[in-house]
Amino acid sequence: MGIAMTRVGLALLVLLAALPTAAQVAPGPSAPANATSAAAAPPADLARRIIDDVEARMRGKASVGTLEMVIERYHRTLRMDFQEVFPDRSLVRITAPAEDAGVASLKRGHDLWTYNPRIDQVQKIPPALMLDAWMGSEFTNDDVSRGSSLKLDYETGSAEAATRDGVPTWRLVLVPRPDSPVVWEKLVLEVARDDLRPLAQEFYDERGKLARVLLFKDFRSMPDGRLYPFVWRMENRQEAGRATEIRVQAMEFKDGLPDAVFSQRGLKRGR
Amino acid sequence: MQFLGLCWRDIGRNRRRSVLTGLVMGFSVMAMMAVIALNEGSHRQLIESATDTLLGHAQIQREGFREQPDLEHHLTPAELAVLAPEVQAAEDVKAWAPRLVTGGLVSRKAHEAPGADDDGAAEGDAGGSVEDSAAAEGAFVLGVEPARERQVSRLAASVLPDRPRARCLRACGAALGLAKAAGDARCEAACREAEPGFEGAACATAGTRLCGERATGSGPRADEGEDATARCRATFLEYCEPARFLADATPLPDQPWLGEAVLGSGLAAMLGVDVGDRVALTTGTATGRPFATLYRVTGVLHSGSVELNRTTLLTHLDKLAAGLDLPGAASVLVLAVHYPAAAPEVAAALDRRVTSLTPGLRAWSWRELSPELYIVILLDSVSLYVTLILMFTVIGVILINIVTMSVLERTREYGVRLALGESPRRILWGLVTETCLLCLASAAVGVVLGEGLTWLMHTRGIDLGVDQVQVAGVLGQAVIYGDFTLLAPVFSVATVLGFSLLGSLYPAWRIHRLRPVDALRFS
Repeated sequence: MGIAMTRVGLALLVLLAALPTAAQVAPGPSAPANATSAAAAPPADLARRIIDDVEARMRGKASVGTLEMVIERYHRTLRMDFQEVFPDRSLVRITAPAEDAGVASLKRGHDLWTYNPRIDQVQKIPPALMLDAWMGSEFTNDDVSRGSSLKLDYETGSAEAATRDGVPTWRLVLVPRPDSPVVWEKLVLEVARDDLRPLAQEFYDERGKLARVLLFKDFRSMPDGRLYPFVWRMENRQEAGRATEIRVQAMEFKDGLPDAVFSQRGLKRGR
Repeated sequence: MQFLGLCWRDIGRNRRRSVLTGLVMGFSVMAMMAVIALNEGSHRQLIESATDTLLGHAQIQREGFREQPDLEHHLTPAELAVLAPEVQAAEDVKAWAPRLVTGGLVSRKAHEAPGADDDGAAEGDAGGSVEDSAAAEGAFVLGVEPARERQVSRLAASVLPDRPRARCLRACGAALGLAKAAGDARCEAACREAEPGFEGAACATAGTRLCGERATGSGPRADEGEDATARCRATFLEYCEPARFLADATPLPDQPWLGEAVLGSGLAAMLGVDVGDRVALTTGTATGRPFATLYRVTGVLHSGSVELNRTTLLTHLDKLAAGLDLPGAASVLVLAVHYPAAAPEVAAALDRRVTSLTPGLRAWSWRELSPELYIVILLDSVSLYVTLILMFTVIGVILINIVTMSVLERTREYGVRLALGESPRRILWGLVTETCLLCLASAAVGVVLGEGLTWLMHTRGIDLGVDQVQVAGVLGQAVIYGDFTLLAPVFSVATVLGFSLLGSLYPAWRIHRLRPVDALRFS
């Protein structure tokens, strides 16, 4: 009896000791296929630092530049000029091809206007159409109008160690705040572990399925020392063959831009 | 025959009882027929409200269009060339029409009064405030061929008639550059001179004459030249013409970014536009390019479809298709059939033909296109017939009571007949035959009265006294009309006869068990 109890007790002890190891080995639902177990626990304030760093890296006070947008679904390439004042003013205008030149998009706050020189008409995008494609791309009107509101609209969870294409990363889950008018069930922001530069942003729909991924590539040093991604690639993960790549051709950070730029006259100026 | 004669004579033995019984049976038949006729009529109206506007009786579409109605799922010109003669030759198909379906952003184009600056000063752009730009609404854009569309839908007939007097005078004054009072007086005088009835069309002619006077110096602002005069005349032609559907011939074929449109009443109200005003449409083409165009509103329609009224802009198919980089293409072929009740069968037969001719295309009836409407109608019908049967169960109990009382009263008579050697079976058949004869005679009267009531409801209808009734996205009409159907008399008579026979079962059982001795003693 005593020997049997000892054997049972030992078996229970072994079982109890194995449980934490088993939990670590089993992958969680949001971990990518190439996740590895954490080498070390993330710092307590890491989530806040990641968001702050992304916002600071991706935005200056203001910026101007040119970019190319390649819409793979339609085999189209658009050239655009852009002007932006962080956090809520931007003006983008198509400069090529000639048939679409002058079409422009203005953001003020969370509102978006579009202008077409062919009919000389400014139209405000109504809320019901904010999920429509922006300029025919995989980016939506909502992306353009809400691009810089991660801090305002989402709550952060804890960061989880992972890798992406061989680069050690932190994956941060962002869940919408209860009163935020956002359409995604959750976002996952993945940043490089060494310098917190953003590598990918995953968008999950209301069913918890991965809808699309925004990849950041071609990081280059800016005059102020920051590393900035010159390629933004949005891939639709629910429909094959649909991706849009924005390639920044030239960019300059500025201290500010006149507010008159972001007006109806500014919107029409390119006609 | 002698047996029938005897049964008929027995019915008349107690005339009061027989008349009362007959009244119950006849009234039941009449009431049931009326209810069924009203039910069938209301359902037909509901279906017509949907099929006569957006749905059609059937449609041919690319597979996947129902789930994702976008430009990618379209019918190519080659497919249309194959389908058109097939559909034309189909015996059951009365007419067909192509439609192109897309979505877009629509806004009111600021009124460009003749003589206004070209840099948009008339749009109130002085301060450059983008918040002053026109409100835009998402719209469901339909490209149609007006002549064909008239044969498959009532969209053209749904354009609200109007008297363009007010907007014509407003445009006239603005066109002549006069203050409102002076403009109204001068324009009204010119219009009345042209046509006392002041129908608007005459004002268009009169107004263009005024523009001519303006150019020759007899009117105000005579120094503006030919362009201003042309704009003046164009304004009259746009604002003084009565409301109408799209012209059969596509206007301005050499100007791809100008055209005509008809708006749903709800959309027009949200945008604040009227006939003669211009609206701007922006959307994406099938190749992802931005597309923008201006339309002059020729009419505002109000149909039986809530969705159509609130969101739809109709324009010419060929121009829209060319602008969307889909020349010659369409999204769907809408079909009208000769016998709407047979639409599902016609669509099924067409589906087999279409899938063999043009793989990837399907034909659907309105039931598949609007399953929610079909389910509502089905549930309504089932609940009606269940209610009728329950109601007639009560009537059946009444009939059982009547027939049982009749048998009880004649117990002694049955006793005598049994004692004289008549078989119980013959007496039982006699009872059943009497019941049937009385029921059929009463039902005949009931059918006549029921058809008369149906005729009244068919011609005059029943006014529900409400403005609008919305069912599954379709506007039901406030006045419901009854329909003549074979179902009504057949179902009604069969039900009453069935319950009558059921009611005679207990009395028949009593007769079967009757002993002549006991019957003779019965009092």
